[in-house]
Parts: sequence; C-alpha cells; structure tokens
Amino acid sequence: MDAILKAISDIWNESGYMKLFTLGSEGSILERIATGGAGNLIMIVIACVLIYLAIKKEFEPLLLLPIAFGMLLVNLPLGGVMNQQINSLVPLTGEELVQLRQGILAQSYPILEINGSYYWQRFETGGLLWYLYQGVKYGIYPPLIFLGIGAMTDFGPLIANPKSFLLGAAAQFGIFATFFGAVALGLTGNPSLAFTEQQAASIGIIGGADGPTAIWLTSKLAPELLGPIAVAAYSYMALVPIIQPPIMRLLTTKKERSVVMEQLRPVSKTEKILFPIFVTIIVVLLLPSAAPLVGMLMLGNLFRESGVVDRIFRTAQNELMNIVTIFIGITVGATANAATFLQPRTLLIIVLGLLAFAFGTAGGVLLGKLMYYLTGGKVNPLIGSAGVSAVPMAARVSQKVGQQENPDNFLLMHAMGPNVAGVIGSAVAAGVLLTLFG
Amino acid sequence: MFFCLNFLNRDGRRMNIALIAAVAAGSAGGSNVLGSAAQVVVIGMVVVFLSLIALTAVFWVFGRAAYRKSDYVADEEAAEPDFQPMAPPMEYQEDISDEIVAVIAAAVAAMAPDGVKYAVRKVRRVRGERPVWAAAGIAENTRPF
Repeated sequence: MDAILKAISDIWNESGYMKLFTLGSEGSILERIATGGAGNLIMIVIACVLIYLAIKKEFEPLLLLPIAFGMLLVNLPLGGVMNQQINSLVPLTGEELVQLRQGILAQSYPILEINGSYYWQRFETGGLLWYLYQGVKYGIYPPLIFLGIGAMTDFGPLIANPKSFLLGAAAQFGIFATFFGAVALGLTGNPSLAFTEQQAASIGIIGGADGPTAIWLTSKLAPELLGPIAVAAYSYMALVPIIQPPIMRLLTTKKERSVVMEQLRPVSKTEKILFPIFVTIIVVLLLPSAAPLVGMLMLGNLFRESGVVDRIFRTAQNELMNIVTIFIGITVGATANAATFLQPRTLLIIVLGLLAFAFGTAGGVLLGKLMYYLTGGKVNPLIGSAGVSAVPMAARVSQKVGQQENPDNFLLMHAMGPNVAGVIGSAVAAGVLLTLFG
Repeated sequence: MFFCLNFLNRDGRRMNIALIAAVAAGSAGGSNVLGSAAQVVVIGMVVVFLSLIALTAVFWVFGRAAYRKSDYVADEEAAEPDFQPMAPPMEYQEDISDEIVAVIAAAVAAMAPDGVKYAVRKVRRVRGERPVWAAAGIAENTRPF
C-alpha cells in the first residue's frame, strides 16, 4: 500500500500541475513569476483568451487559433514540445575511460573517438514543435504562404491603375516610423524599454500588416520576439475595421470621401501573365534580399494567370497553403513561452504595433489626398488606407467608409489596387530592413 | 540620464549639483542614434518608393501599349448577340406532361449528328396495341432483319 501511495505521490510531484504553482529562483518578484510555473499559468490564461477571440469573435482564426494553441502547448510545464534537439560531444570522464578499456562501460550513448580522445555522442530528440519550427527559423514557411497568397490574388485592379503602387508604397511609412519610435525609446535610459535595431525593425514590420512578412523578418532579425510580434500582428489585422476608419475620417473631408472614381479599364490576359514576371525581375534585381518573398508571391500569381498549371495552382492555394498555415501558426505560437512573453517590452510591442498600423494608414491616406489634388479630384483618398496590406480587409474598410458618405460609391475594386500593391511594398520594406540589419 | 541636486542654504548644507558626465556624452550619443534611425527611415522609404515607382512606370507604359479603348469597344460590339425572331412554340397535346416533352427533346438533341440542330415542333401520342417499351424492344430485336 505504501509503495502504491509513494508511486502515486511521485507521479503527482513530477506532473505539470506541481510545476504550475512555483516561482523562479532569481530576479525580482515579477521576473520570478515570469520564469516560474506561475508565468506558465498566466500564459495558459492568455492562450485561452486568444482562442476565445479566434473562435467566438473570429479574429483572423486561420492563424490566431493555431498560434493560441501553440502558446497553450508550450506553456504546459514539462510538455517538452519545444525542447531543442541535443546533439553534442561530451568527453568521457577518467573513470568512464577506465571502464571503457575494461569493457564494462554501460553505453547510454554511442562513443566516438576523435584523435585518440573519446566522447559521448549525446543525442536527445527534440520536441514535435521544435522540429516543425525549423521551417520558420530557416525562412521556409513564409515564402510558401506567399506562394499561396499569390495564387489567390488578382492583380488586375493594380495593373489597370498603376498609380496604386504609390499608395502601397506610402502605407509602408508605418513600418519605418515605428522603427524610429522603437529606437528612440532606448534613449530613455531604461534597459527594459530599449530595443536593438534588429528588434526595432522587427517591431516596425508589424505596420506592414502582413503576417508572413512579419514572421519571416522577425525570425531572421529578432527571433526572441517572434511570439509577441506575431500575436500583435495578427490581432491588429483583425482589428483593421476598428483602427482605420477614425484615422481615415480625421485626415479627409466629406467632399474628398465622396469622390466617385472612374471605372477601371479591362486588363488583358497577356498583361496579367507578364505582370508577375516583370515585378520579379525589377524588384529582385533592385533588392535581392526580397527574392524569397517577392519571388514566391509572383510565382503563385503566375500559376494562377498562366492557366496551364491548374493542378499545382489549386494545390498552392489550397492544400499547401493550409498545411503551411497550420505549421507556421502552431510553431510561432509555441515561441511565446512565459519567460519571453511576460516582459514589460511585450506591452510596448503591442502599443508600437498599434502605432505602426496607424501611421501606415495615415501615410496611405495622405498620399491619396495629394493624388486627389494633383488629379483634380479624380482619386478618392480613402483608397490610400488600403495600402496597408491586410488583403482584402483594408479594401473592404475603404469601401465601407466611402459608402457611408455616398451609398452609390463602390470603391472596393479601386481599393484592391493599393491593397495588393501593399503586399509587394511590405515585402520590399522587409528586404530593405534585412539588407540594413541582417 | 539622471542628476542629483542638494541645495545649499544659508544654514550650511552642502550644495552639490552633480551632472554625470555621461549625460553630456549620452546626449551626443542619443543624437547619433536618432540620426541613424532617421537615415534608415529615409533610405527605407526612398527604396520602397523607387521600386514601386519603377513598377508604376513599367505598367503604365505597358498598359498604354497593350490597351486601346477602341479595341475593347469593337470587341464588345462584336460580342453582342445577333437577335433573330423567336420560333413558334412547340405544339403538344395536353395529356402529355412537360417532363415527357423535355425528355423527348433531349433525346432528339442527343441523337443529332455533330453540327446539326434538330428542333421538336410537335409531339403527339401514338396509340398502339402494344406498350411502347415492348414495341421498342421488338423493334430493337428485329432490326437486323
């Protein structure tokens, strides 16, 4: 009976439940909470809140749900889903060498001899999500997502109105303005508010409103911030209909918002086929670091427009996209463990992310206003806000705000031009930041 | 950046205004940090705009070369259907259901050779001694003869 009770007690003591109610051993009380099991408990609650937002409120559920669940899994103590694979050489001790020569050494690992010295070839299998995370770490998943996005995107409105490229460029101001702000915070002298240039660039890319681009750049420049940046990026993308309209109304007049734009010209199949080829050549020659993202985006679009590769076109936008979405979501969420997420700078990242979106919207709308004046009132400035590349949510917001002024105004297709231009613009901006700080 | 102040009053407390030397150096360093951050902003926006201006120019030129409004108007006019007077409606007896007529018309259309269109004009019931299916079976079996 005692043995049974002891066994049950041992199982309980080594379970995750016991670890949940512990504190870390070093640092302030907040640091000890963050590094102990109590931090895991807080993260489990946060993960459950995000799951609720994804399912009940439908906040970008395709990504927020796996991100939230990955966050939940990694914060269950002792689960080991993100344990790193261990592959190391450990020298044998003197006693072990003697046993080895006597042939009585118990070999828990293979023994390797190098130049007369003997080493344990220690290998421990990593966790499931650690292996899947290698696709994020080596920048594989985000370009594959872009392949699917390119296959799903119609660049016709952009080709019909090439000026939309400029609006897509202007909306990337949010990225660089936030970078400046994040760097400036370091001058306060408070180390917990200071970000390196790489970290500031990763925070700034939230303003591109492009999840795969944000994950791709952050995994290269500041992988320690991947969890909070991904959560911030996808949460704000879902909040675009709330964040953008007040800024759009603040920066435009009723007359400007009521502008009805000319119908877009038809776009030929030839133009649609040549578009991805030209974009790839022009952009990648100028900015080689943008090759993975821009190249895969345009390849997916070429699959779509060529019309001769129906099988792989359908695979790119369906099965491949879904598989990679699952992997990228759950592994990015799994980087958000308590020790990295429960820091004062996480709140700062969330605030800076909001500013990035706001500045991006403002940049696009202001250039839209300039184009309104330069064209004699032919361009509705509202479509500038769609340069924030949350496709197609930002375009729908332009449509909705325009219709509130003029119910007969249909801005959706006009706004799709800057919207998809913003995808290219944010990839170019990420390439610039990677070139400068990578 | 911090400085501490202890005021000297006439009762003899020591006045000690200490500005850490690093404040001055920090201020200069801060300007450098902000300066290089501003440079990044300018470089970034310039490169993004240059790339997309290049794309704008290329596709504006391409659009001018590839799209002529007159071509699309001519295509739209050519695409307009050639309206012809409607044919008189098909006649069929009242005791024949619409579904039977539809099936017959579909069977006739399926039997038509390529490039030939048959139109069913009239459907009437043929009264016979044998059931229709039986008659069809006999016809099929006796066809070789």
